[in-house]
Amino acid sequence: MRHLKLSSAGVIFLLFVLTPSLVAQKSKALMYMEKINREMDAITADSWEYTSEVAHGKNARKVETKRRELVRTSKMAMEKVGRMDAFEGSTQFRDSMVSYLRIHYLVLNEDYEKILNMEEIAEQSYDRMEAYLLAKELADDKLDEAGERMQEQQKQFAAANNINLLTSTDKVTIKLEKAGEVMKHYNVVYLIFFKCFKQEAYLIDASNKKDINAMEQNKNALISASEEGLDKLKGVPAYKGDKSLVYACKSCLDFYHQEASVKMDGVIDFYLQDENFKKLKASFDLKPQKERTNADVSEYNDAVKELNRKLNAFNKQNDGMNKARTGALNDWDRTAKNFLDKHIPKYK
Amino acid sequence: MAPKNGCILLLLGISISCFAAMAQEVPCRQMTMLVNMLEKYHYKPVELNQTTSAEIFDDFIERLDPYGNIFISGDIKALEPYKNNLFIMHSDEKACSFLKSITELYLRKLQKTDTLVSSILEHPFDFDVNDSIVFTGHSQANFAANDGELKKRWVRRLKYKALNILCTPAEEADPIALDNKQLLLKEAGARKKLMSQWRRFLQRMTEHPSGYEMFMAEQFFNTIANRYDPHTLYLSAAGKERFLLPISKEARAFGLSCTEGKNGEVEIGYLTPGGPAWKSNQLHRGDVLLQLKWPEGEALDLSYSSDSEVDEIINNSGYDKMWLTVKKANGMVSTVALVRETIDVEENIIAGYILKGEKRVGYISLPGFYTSRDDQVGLGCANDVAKEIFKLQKENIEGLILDLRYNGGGSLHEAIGLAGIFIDQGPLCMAKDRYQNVRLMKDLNRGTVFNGPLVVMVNGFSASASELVAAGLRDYNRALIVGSNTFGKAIAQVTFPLDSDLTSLHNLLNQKNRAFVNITVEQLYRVNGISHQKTGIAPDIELPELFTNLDDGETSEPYAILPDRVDKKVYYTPLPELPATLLAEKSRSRTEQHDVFTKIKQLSDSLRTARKQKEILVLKPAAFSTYVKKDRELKAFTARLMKAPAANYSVLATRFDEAVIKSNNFRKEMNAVLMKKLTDDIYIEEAYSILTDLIDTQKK
Repeated sequence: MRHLKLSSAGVIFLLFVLTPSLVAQKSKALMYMEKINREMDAITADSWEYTSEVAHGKNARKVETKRRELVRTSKMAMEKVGRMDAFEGSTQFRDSMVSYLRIHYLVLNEDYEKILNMEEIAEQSYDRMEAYLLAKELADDKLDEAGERMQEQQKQFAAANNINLLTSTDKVTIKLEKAGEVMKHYNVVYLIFFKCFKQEAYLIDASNKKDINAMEQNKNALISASEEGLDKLKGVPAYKGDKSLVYACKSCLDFYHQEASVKMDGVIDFYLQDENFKKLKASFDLKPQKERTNADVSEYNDAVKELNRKLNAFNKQNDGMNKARTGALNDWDRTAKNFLDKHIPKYK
Repeated sequence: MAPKNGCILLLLGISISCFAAMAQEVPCRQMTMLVNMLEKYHYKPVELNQTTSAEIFDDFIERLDPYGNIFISGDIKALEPYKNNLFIMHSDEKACSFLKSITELYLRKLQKTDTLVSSILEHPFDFDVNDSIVFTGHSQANFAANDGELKKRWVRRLKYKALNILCTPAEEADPIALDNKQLLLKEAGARKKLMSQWRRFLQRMTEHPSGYEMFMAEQFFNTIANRYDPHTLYLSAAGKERFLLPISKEARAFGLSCTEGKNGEVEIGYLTPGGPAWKSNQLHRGDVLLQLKWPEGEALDLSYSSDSEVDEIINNSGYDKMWLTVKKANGMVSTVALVRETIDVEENIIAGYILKGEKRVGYISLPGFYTSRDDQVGLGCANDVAKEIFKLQKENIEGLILDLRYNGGGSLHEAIGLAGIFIDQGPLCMAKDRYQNVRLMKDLNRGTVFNGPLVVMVNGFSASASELVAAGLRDYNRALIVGSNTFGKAIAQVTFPLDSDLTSLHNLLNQKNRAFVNITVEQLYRVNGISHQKTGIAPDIELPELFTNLDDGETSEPYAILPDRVDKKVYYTPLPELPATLLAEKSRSRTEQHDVFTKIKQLSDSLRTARKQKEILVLKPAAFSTYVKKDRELKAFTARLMKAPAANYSVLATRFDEAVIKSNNFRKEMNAVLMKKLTDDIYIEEAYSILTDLIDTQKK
């Protein structure tokens, strides 16, 4: 299974959209603004290296090294900008930038509790994964807000000092934007896949514990999640004509739906039959041998035969399900890797 | 008779000297630990000042002598200096010497009473004298001014008890049919029986397994614990065994164990889930045991026996069948036949049935929230209910009745698991501790097991965990709650080893002879922030109950924790509202037309009025016979009332269960009894009609 930091793409592109390039007279104000911008450029460069490693790299440690580099750069940028003097007595522009960089840094580190009420988030969520996704979404919102505030201050600063702002169109920016689009598509499909993947894990866990209550509930939750996911997938457009990710996700969801709506009842049924057999056996064993009638013995033998027949069917069904699951998940992994490799531009 | 008396007095004498020789150190040390533990862990610690000291003093005396039959007012006066000062200057030294004094005094008084009772019972009662007793309902004891007055009380009391024995049906003849002369022929026998009852009562204390002084200390500790709230308890090592009883894995058992009730009566303390007593569906925790009969010999009178004695009698008899007569929490007396059975630890112990009439619906009764045998978070009743629902859904049920009447609670974890069967996900309740920390308790699993129309049955004896389930399902608009107002226990307890610093709980739990204390540590709240502590959960649709308001649940407890609310934003998504008002109106018009419900309502009103009035009972055989006759008629009438075969459905077992039921004669017998019970219950019948209405409205 490919593990991708979901937070990376959103952060990178927000940064980049906000990163301005200036064409104006070399004034004090311009120099002040450029100094800040240099820090942003460093973050952009590291972001790109990291993104590219995620998409094309095969080495998890290398991906992590790149992420750490990006974190370090962000921290240094935050500190450097924070140490800058006020411009003609005003720190508004600088402070909005520091505030943005701080949130950016915390989001990169997934240190959400410094910007969100995590207890409230946990209470709103079913499990830790849902809490994580909700926290990420809310943290991204906070980052957007800080970005907007910073952009506003930047505009005001530029306007007050006769500086014209132009959007950058350099190569890295274009590549990052492109990667952003790819990741956006990937994330949409991944979330649909992930919800069912996780739900199935709960179901399997309950089944291993023979917890019929949890099995029934998670089975029904998986039916809902897969139906909802399949419905959502219909509305996901191809990425530049490539629907491979959508198809791979659909086969996983089809498997989950089939497993939950058709096969799982057989599993529960077998567990209960097995339990019934134990009761029958206990009653049979309680009766002394000489008191057992032919009918008792034949009834018991029939029950043994029936249980064995069900056991074989149960094992066969389990094998079939395991094979189908492995096939669908391998296909999803392969497709996801190929998709990112194909569409995200290479670093150099 | 005389030598026997002498022997007992001698025994008492020995007890006194033993007692005098024994140091008070152990009880005093335990009391200090108890007070410290309560101070440290109780949800709402009580300030031990003059007022609370006086309350504990009065409560303890009431516990020892609830009817003013042992002490006289002079005795109480002599103890008066302790009254306001038990815990003066944050020290329990005074309380300790009070315990010592009253322990000595009470023993002396018991000895004196023994002489008094023996002398009264030596001579025939004179029923020509105009004597009467007055029933006024419960009030605090007033004590006799002197020994002469106390003697008069005892004469009246024993006369009343003798008449009761004389008028209790024996096997050969109905005493009501006998004339006075014939009745009085049995008078000597009644006195003999009374003497042995009294001696058993006496021995229960003086020959207590932990020793008399520890018995007294335990009573005192519980009085202190109960001053914090009625569910905070001191548990001696033996008491703890019963309270925290692991499920019996003994070979063949009746599946019940006893505990001592507040007034010294023997109650059912525990039902082994899945055992014969549990499966009878007619016995519940808190039922008072009155009489026990084996297939041979006379019935045993269990009043004045100790809980351990009854446990021993039940477990060690050679018989496989017994008839147990119990008084239910609602005052009804019933006799239940039980057959000793091997309790299968793997067995699913809840049975679901199909009620087949205009609609095909499922019915599941859950008498208590048991948890797994090995740990607190394994698979317990919620899983078993889910299995039954799975089976019932295979039978295409259109709705479900979940019966939580008489369900006194149990595992909170299981309650959450059970409610989760019916709701998708989200918080179900909140718990607040003494530091005002609030924690949310959520459904354990995403998804549901059953989505169809649901009716939950409750009554005044549905407490704690069952109230949480009812409240949770109500708050999500998931179920219609039918029956009567619930008990009102919305607090949670934890059992601590008495001298625990909680650092090595495992070691502490494994040490024998260790006392424990069951402490209220949290108050529970609904997702809307309201606590149903004391108030209970009012049903959406109320059904007339015979004994509604006669026993007021938690409200009748003077030291019950008071309800409050928590102000916390809780995120949950209720379902659309259910048509409760409409269905309540339909139900009301049905019950108003229903002959039995109408009679129940009338009877309930008259009982409530009667309860408030004084009742004077003349202690003469003729008058007493009339009284007994009236009482018996009322009981027969109510018993008849309660058993009215339902006309609108028949009861079926699921196909899953049929093969198992057929496999064993006992199962067949039990199943037949259970199915008959389901057809004879007018409340289930009305719940079925309500569910039918609900299915129809939801179809529209």
